[in-house]
Amino acid sequence: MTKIHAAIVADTDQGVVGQSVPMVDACEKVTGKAIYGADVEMPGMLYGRVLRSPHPHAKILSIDAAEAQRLPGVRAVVTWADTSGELIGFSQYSDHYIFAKDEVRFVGDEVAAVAAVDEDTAHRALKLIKVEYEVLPAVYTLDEAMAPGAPLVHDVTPENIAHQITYSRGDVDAAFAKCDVILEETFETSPAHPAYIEPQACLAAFDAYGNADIYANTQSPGGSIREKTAQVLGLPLGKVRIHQTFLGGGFGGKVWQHIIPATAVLARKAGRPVKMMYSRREDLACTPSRVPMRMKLKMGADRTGRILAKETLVLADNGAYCINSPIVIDTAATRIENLYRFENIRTTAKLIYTNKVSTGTFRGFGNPQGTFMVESMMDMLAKELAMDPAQIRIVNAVHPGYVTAHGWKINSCELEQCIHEVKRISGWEEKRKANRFGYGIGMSCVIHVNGNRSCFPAFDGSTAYISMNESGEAMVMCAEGDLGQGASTVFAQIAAQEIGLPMESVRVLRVDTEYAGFAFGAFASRITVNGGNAVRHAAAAVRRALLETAAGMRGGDVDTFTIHQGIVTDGTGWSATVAEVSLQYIYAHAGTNLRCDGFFIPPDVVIADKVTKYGNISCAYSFAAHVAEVEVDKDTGKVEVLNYYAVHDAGKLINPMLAEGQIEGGVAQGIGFALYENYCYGTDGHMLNNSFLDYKLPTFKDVPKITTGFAQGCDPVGPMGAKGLGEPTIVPVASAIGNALADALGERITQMPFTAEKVKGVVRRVMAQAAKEGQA
Amino acid sequence: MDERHISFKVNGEAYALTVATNRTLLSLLRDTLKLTGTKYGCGEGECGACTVLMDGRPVNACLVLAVKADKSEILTVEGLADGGKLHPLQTAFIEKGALQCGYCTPGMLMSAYALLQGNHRPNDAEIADALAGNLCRCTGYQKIYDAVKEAAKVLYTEDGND
Repeated sequence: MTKIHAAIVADTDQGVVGQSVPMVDACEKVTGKAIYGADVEMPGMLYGRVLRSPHPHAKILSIDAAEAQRLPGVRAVVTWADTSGELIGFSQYSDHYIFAKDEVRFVGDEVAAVAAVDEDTAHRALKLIKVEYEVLPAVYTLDEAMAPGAPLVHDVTPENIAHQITYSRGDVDAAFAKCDVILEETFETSPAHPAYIEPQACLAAFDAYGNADIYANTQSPGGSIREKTAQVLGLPLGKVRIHQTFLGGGFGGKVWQHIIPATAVLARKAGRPVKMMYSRREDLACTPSRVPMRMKLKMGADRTGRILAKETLVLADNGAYCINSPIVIDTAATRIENLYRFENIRTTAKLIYTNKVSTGTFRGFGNPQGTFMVESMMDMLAKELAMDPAQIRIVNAVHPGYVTAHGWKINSCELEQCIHEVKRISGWEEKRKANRFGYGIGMSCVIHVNGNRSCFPAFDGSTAYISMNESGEAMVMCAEGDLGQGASTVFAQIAAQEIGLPMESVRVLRVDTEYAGFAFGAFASRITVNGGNAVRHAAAAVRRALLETAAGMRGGDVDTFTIHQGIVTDGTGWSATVAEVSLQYIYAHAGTNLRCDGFFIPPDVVIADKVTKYGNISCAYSFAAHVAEVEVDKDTGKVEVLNYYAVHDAGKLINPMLAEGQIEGGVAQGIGFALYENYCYGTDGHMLNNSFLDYKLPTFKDVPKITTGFAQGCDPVGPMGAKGLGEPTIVPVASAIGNALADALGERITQMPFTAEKVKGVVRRVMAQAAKEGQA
Repeated sequence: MDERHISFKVNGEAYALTVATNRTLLSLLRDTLKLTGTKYGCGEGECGACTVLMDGRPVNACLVLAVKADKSEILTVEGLADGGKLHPLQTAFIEKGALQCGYCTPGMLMSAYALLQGNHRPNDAEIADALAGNLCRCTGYQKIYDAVKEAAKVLYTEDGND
């Protein structure tokens, strides 16, 4: 293997980056050839199923699996005793087992699992496992869990507080004293599910030497779930191999998947490969949702709209166990405080255990919650000050070179441009004059990270390598993987441009941890900047090595050689194909492919202080401004989003078509979050709407025309000037729709989702009031 | 479990086999015939990921018992391309960026295929009607409209059918 450090070459004439090339793996997807999690098969494969708790909170007195084990076709039954027995979870918050040890804490908690020759047998076997429970009192809501003397979800955690932070900046009380207007409101967000169309799925096998070999639809093949799987199996990390299959969506829900270690434990005990896929009902009820929050906010501004002070209490419903929720609530509390030039802030955030399914990561990582709170309040303050909501945002916007209250160093930032552009394309000024009951227009902005240094203490960054095969194809391996939104295409475009190859000469390999490096995976909108830069560095090194090899073949000064569209030339009329040069390299190195590694370490980032949360956690920040137009059906209360406009600062775009697609998809998810996605629970802690019939996702009929736009920008750190775009697309949607709805009704609904029932209640009240005033 | 003998065609190929009466067409296609292009999304007919054509009509394969496929002709996503040549719908989905993760795409393609059989020039409302039973969590549907219209143009203009 060759390691060459080469300067990155700015070669602008290749024209691959910045083009709307189709996804590199689209052909596999439209022909049905792409292999997803549940499509993987192995000879001798068994089928796995999980036995789950029917109780929200209970002690396990005994588990008797003898009868299940005797059922013909059953090959293994596993419980906690078949694991290493260690607590797993998010760093110091490790609070659960992959199978319950002696207590279950939500309806659906994993108790045992079965592997059998077919799914019907596995299903029958579950019913034969006898579990004796002693039912314990349960708490379902924030209020129940926080009440004095409330039953504890975890005996070791007093007051059910899983995690809390308190911090302040500036002089909050003095600043409030200077305000011309101070408003207070409480906002609530709902627990939406990522609802990827492919349920979680996994196939696990063990080789003759006890190494785990796992195929999974995971967003984080090299990251935390591999580590947790090794921990549950009691194996060193190097003995757990994960192949990333195609993913049928993830959106944060496939970062952390209990199904992976659970299936591996089954496969080890059965001594045969085991495949498991959750049913849709199981997936909705038993895998983490977005963390729902209740946020009390007091904010004050002076006459010009400048925000002077902010005081916040965030309470978040953690559910039974900490998945990634501590960092989600930290994000909800802090991130929005970097969108504007806040100087005086005081924030407390508490994460509360309840006896419901664990909550965790879903696109936006807490930022949609915090943004809903503050961006709603910005409109309330604008109204109070008789200001244009766009103007109050401009007055307070951060700008390049600004260091925020949390120490975030704002590098490239086109927030103001986004606001101006979204005003222009939406016809903001004109439409705001409509002033008609039932019609409204609203705006919201967003700041988001490109990776978060605080996620993994040991390091941050990405690794990739590129290997040139005998045919002159660049085989790109970036350990981060592709969760389906187009990372592979972005990597291919970067590699093609940097090396000087046509797109068809670049192949992006699927992640196999045996051959890829260590990586966290696709979350925190980190892939374009981190993975993209790693690929770019590897490509630059490959280009340099190809040029040196060509110079060796031809003779002459390496600096006179160039590569364009897969052809190496030296300016004298000599030329060779990259295939010829790559083969020459292989012959000259006893069969070794020309292979170069690249890595990227985000510059100037720190782990945020544990207590104060201060520190620049990301090397680039993405921005956007969105506008929603809504119409309310006054008879039914149904909210229709008429038009949606979104302008993003994603730096220089790598692929405009994919970038538009990211926005359109994020906005559609945001519409579901804003208008109807929610969990309904029975009094016994069972989720009542865990099917796609009752858990409503936006369909063709619910998503309006989405007009997208991009600010002209260029990030100094991102690859070829690009920034991430995955999460910021969903973050401002609920607040933009909420603000439009408040404009339509003249009254604000502060509790999401904005269902027809709630809206109808407001319509009835407002119309009754108007009628009364009309009579008077 | 009761079993029945059935014979049917999938993508033009004839099959004759014995299936349990509680098996779904989805399971028959995926587990027995190994045609995994057709996807499971919900098992209750709500997401459309398992859409296939049965005698020319789109059905949710998760709601159709395998025995009901007796004597029928099934078309799945694997049967759309003509040898090595992609169907215009497949090409349009690729070129218009009408897919991301691709999991809903096979079902989406089959519903769109059924639509275009009966409507050579669908407008946005007709596309929404025909595809409203196919959930996509990635794309926000926008580019799927473009792709279906593009495919209609390629299919029914160039050869003068319309």
